[in-house]
Amino acid sequence: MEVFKARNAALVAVGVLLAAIATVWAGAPALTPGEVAAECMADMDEQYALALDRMTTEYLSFAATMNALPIETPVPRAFKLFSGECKKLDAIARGGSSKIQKIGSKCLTKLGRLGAEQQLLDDVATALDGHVDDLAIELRRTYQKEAADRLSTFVQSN
Amino acid sequence: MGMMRLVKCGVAALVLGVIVQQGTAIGGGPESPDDVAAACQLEMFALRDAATAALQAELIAFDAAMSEISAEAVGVDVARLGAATSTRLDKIGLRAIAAINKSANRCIAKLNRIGADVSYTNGTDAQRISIVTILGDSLRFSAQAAVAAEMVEFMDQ
Repeated sequence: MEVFKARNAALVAVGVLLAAIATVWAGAPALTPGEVAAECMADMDEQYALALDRMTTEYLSFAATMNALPIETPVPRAFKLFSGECKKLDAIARGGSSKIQKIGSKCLTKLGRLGAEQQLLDDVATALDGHVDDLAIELRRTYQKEAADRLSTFVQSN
Repeated sequence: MGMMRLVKCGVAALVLGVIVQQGTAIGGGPESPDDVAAACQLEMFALRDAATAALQAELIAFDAAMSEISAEAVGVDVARLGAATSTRLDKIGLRAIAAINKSANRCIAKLNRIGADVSYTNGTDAQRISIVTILGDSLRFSAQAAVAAEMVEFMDQ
């Protein structure tokens, strides 16, 4: 009787161990297409916000430099600073767009593999294009335009 | 661009002609302080007018280049064009100012040589300062400011 009890206990222990191994082997439960899309969109939003933050930091640094520029500074020097600033802002925006595009296209491939509905694919594609377009608009109409305004103010100051 | 080159060549020829003409007039004969001072004034005005025309030609070339740029062009390219134009405008203005100063100094030396009253040399110097100041202001507050304003306008499109 004692021998049977010990054998049953051993079998239960092995069973529990095998179940644990099977769970670890299978990994976390697979995400649904909706969850995958939501995760991608959150990642794209994050990259968009990061690019805007970087452009803001860059612009503020430029504005500080322009404010500290002595009035006797030759105007071509101010134009060169402005041109360099446009280049830096452009690089930040391009970097941000490239990351967003990478996240978006990876996501669309994954959703395609999961057999996601067309509507979900369209939503991700729209979010991707929207972020890239918005970043280009922000770059030019907000940051580069503000930098040009600073330049113009410097040139007209006496 | 070929048209602009032609305009620039024309302006350069005009400047050269004026300088040669004025140089001949100064060196050729007038010896009275009134004549020397008047010739100096003419030469300084001619140099100023030539510089103003050259600045204008440069701005026209810049406008033409800007109108060729599509609205979709990247801001970096436009900023580079503005910076290059600013450098060229600066060179035109600074060269003209240097030429006006040189012309005035030559005149003042000549007035001293012929024993002209100090009022002539002071008058020539005052004229020089006035012309140089107006040209400097025109370079910065008119020409360079116009380029900067175009930068703002383009970025806002």
